[in-house]
Amino acid sequence: MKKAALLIALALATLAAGVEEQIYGLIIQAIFPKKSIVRVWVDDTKKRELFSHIGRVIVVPEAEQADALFLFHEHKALRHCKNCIVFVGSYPLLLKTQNEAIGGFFWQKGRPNIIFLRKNLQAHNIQLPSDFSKYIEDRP
Amino acid sequence: MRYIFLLLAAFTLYAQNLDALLQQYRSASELSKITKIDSAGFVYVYTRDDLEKMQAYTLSDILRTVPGLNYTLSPNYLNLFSFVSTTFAPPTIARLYINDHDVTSASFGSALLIWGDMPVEYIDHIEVYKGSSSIEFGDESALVVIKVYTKLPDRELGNKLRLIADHRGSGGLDLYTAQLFDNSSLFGYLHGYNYIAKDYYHNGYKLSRDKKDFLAYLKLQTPAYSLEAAHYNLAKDPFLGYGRSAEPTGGGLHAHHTYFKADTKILGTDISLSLDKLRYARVYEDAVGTPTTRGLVNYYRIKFNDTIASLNFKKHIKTQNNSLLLGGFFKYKGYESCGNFDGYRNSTTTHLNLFSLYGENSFNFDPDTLLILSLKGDFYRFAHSVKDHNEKIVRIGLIKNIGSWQLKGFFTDTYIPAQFFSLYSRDNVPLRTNPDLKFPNLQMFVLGGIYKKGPHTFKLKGGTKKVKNYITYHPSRGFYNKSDKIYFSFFELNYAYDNGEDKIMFDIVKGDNSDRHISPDLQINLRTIHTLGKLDIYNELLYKNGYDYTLPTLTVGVKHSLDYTLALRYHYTKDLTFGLKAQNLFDTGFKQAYGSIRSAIGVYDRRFIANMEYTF
Repeated sequence: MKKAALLIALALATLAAGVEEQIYGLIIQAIFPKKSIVRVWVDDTKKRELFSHIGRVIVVPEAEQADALFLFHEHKALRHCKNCIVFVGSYPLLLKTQNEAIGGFFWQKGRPNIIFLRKNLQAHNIQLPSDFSKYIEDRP
Repeated sequence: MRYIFLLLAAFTLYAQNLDALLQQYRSASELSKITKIDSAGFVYVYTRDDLEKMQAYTLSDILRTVPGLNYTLSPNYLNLFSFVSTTFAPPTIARLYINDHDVTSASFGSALLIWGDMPVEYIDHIEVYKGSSSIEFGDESALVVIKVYTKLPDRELGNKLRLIADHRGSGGLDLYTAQLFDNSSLFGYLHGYNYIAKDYYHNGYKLSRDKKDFLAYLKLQTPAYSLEAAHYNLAKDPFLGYGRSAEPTGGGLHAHHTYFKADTKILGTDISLSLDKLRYARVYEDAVGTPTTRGLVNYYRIKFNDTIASLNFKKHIKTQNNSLLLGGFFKYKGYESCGNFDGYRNSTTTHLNLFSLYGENSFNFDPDTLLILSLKGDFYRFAHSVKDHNEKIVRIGLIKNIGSWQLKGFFTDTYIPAQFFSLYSRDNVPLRTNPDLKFPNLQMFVLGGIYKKGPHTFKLKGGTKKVKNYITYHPSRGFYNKSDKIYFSFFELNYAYDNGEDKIMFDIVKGDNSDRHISPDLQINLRTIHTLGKLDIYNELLYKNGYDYTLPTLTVGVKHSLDYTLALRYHYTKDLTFGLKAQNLFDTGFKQAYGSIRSAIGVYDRRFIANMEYTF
């Protein structure tokens, strides 16, 4: 009961947060629908702050402790984390990490875009909600 | 278990709105939210979304909708403003900045002669400040400040092609690319436009407003510096020309402007270096003749070459309750003119060194009360016999929040610099110059209130302006300062509704002045933006009341105008958009009166425009 109430409170906090936080909150919820706590590692100081406000998300200090890596810059973390779930914050980075990343959220062509890569989702056995199917593509 | 279900249901509900969230994110990330300076006065913002849905193609598509200003055309087809009720305002009242770079010419003191109809496809958003002191912008004095900001490569990332054509045979092409590299970004833009205007006739002579322009722009950005380069080329037909009876037989304007700009930050100080080269060649051929100090000439050609080198610096020092802006600039302005008037040739070369220092302090007495004090000194050192000018600008502003209201009041004591070509020429041909001209002084007081509640915003403001030493021209006296003071007043009401998708903008402006009333003194604008699925709908209705254009020898009566523009934009896919626009649909738009033809001509033609945008 307590846990459920906490979850709902956290969810509401997420919904009240900024739009970018809400978008990342939804992405995390879609990737980890069954996890009550999601541990993420973020390689950008400002974005780390943003992620720390997302409900049921814990920002961890080491990449090895994370359920998912959110990368905004090229980083060695990928080398240390062979089977990590990686999500990126720029299109050039998605191109460079297209063999590892499951997707990205970034500006392109003057508008914000979300892309999930089908083969990497399958490799991690991730089934996104049906609402997200329009964001799934075969290549970046 | 059921709580988990509730939680999942809540998230599912929001997941359905991910598209809406992305749209909200785009709106919330509008760059104008970063660049806009509320303390600079009263600002009109045209966001990227507005520009796209308006299908704006040139700067005049925007400036014609700014409340309180008539964006009009001079007889020789130059873009000029007139404030509600007044005659053409001096070109020096307005300054145009592209990414904070002043593109004003040295000879005319205005950017609008070349850039007045610049393309806006590479522009992210536009801010127009009225009644500004311009101190906040760290540059020269102006009453109307137009700031345009180019698109950012890290947001564009990709390429875009835009094609435009209209029923008169005009055609334009715009292409840009935005690329990101490891630690830098690049934005490049190309534009070409061949504009075919409606032809008018006077005494059997064709009055043509056709024009062609070409723009190339490049920006390279690294974490340490930013480099920009642009080249703009413009050719315009003469319209009525410059002749006494407006019987043009040829000529026009050929101009180009090339600039380089470098920005960096050293010890927390913003440093900007730039170099501008401008060239204007104006030719007027007229059957009756064009007046000069040597009498009427049938062939009138004058070329201006400007070289401007600028160093600007500014630093913000912020504490908890106080923000201090300190800065200054140095500009070298070289000016060269060559004339040919029915075979009489002359040339003039001169220059100006302009030094400026300024400071602005904004102090928060409490979270709801901001006091702004600004002071600027401009020191003009001209070559040859033109007297030195030491000018000052003083500004006091108060912004107070009371509940849902924000009250703003500004008092500004400023000046308008004289145009270079009015101050000095070697032999006073074609115009009689005056090296002893005083710069017109202006004192302005503007008071207004802004009320915001949910999607609704009401603005109410009024103001007065006193102008001393206004510069005018008389064939026998040349350029001189008028001894009478001119008083100007205005009242403005704005209402805006914005729910993130749809917008309604309504403005009423009434103006008055103690000199001649020779332009509309009442404007009513209604603009709406509506999105219906894949279709964007933009409506624009611009009303200006009738006016009498009265000169000592004639009066031209001009009826009221109602300019209706409709723009439809259909998103065929995420990357492919088609647009149709009917500008001045009923052909009853604003008409400018011209003494030389004793009649009025529409400033904006009726045009049906097709438009295609493709991103890849």
